[in-house]
Amino acid sequence: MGKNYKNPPIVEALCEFQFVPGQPWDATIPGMFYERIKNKFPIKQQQVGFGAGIVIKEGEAFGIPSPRMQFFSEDRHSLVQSGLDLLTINYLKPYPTWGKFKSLILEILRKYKEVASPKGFKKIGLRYINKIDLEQNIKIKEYFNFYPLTPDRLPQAYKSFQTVIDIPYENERDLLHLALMTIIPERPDTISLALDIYYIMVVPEKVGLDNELNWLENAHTTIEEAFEICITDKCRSLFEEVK
Amino acid sequence: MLPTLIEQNDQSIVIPENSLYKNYFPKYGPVDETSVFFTNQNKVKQLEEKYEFSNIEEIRKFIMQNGYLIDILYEAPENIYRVFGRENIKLVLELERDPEEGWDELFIVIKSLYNAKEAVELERKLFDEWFVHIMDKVNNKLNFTEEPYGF
Repeated sequence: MGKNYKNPPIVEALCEFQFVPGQPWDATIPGMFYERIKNKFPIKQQQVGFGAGIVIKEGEAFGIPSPRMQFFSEDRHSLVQSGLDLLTINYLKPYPTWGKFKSLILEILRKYKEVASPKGFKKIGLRYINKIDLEQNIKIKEYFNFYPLTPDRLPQAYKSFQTVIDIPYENERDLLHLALMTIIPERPDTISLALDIYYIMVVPEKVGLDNELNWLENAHTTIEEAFEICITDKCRSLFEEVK
Repeated sequence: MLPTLIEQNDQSIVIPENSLYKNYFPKYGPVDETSVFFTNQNKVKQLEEKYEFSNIEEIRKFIMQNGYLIDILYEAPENIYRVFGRENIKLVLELERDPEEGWDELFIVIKSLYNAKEAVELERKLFDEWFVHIMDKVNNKLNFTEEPYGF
């Protein structure tokens, strides 16, 4: 059981499924899927702009159109995204509880399976994005146990940074992708950092189509532990633990 | 292929061969981004290619504070170019503030070579064809104006 915080830093939690198709893509699937989820996610829109699909090919990036539909809840705090063999369930701030998020994931996934009949999981990802606002000119190692290290003879200051590691789990079937980076702040005289914790099954079809629950529980536990390991007590105090 | 071990002071970092890192764009998260949060961060960065910012730090923060403006600002240039054309047009974002009145508003300044009469007509056309449809979404935080382009 993880710690509870009065001001948790989670700005977004998402669960992503990429599927091995069980049949050729049918253009009627998005419509049938929407019919099944529209009570909870009535607001639909096509994703605007880039980010929909970028493919890396031999070190180069190409933007390609990859239309993705987004279905928002009435309060716009949660959404479902559906594209070609892709399903994502996102919760934006305020994050509810793992129990509620998990129930939603399983419900939406079941409805997707009913209409799309996928053959298997190509990728599963559970991701928590935390945003931490700090005063300028702080020492980052007082707040994080995971941070960029600069050699002593260089100035110990940075305007922006990004630290990324991928840690293999489960005999490299899974990866824990950890990133700490500066992001665009919302308030004056602050720096904002994103602690992005992303647990991913990277080997296709290594988790059976009916075994997502075990995988999700394990992924969530790993993410929760990683979060606590990455932050110091000083950082933890910003979120006000509820005991 | 065995992972590469990199030792950095007191930390050891293992980077497996299939690391996501190579598919990671600096600052902006993994490819095929499905996060709304990072997509918005990306879009704000992309706005710097679409507009000149009069004060980049201040305007970025203003846009992040008023996140509903992100998609509107992202789509605005195409609407502007449709009316004004693309030739000799520069788009500038300027933040106007009156701290005493607690008022602030972001302006898209369309710098063009049109004469005053043409510019007023195009401004009116842009209002009728685009801005009137988004007015209720911008919460008095976004407006546009036309100014002569000083070459």
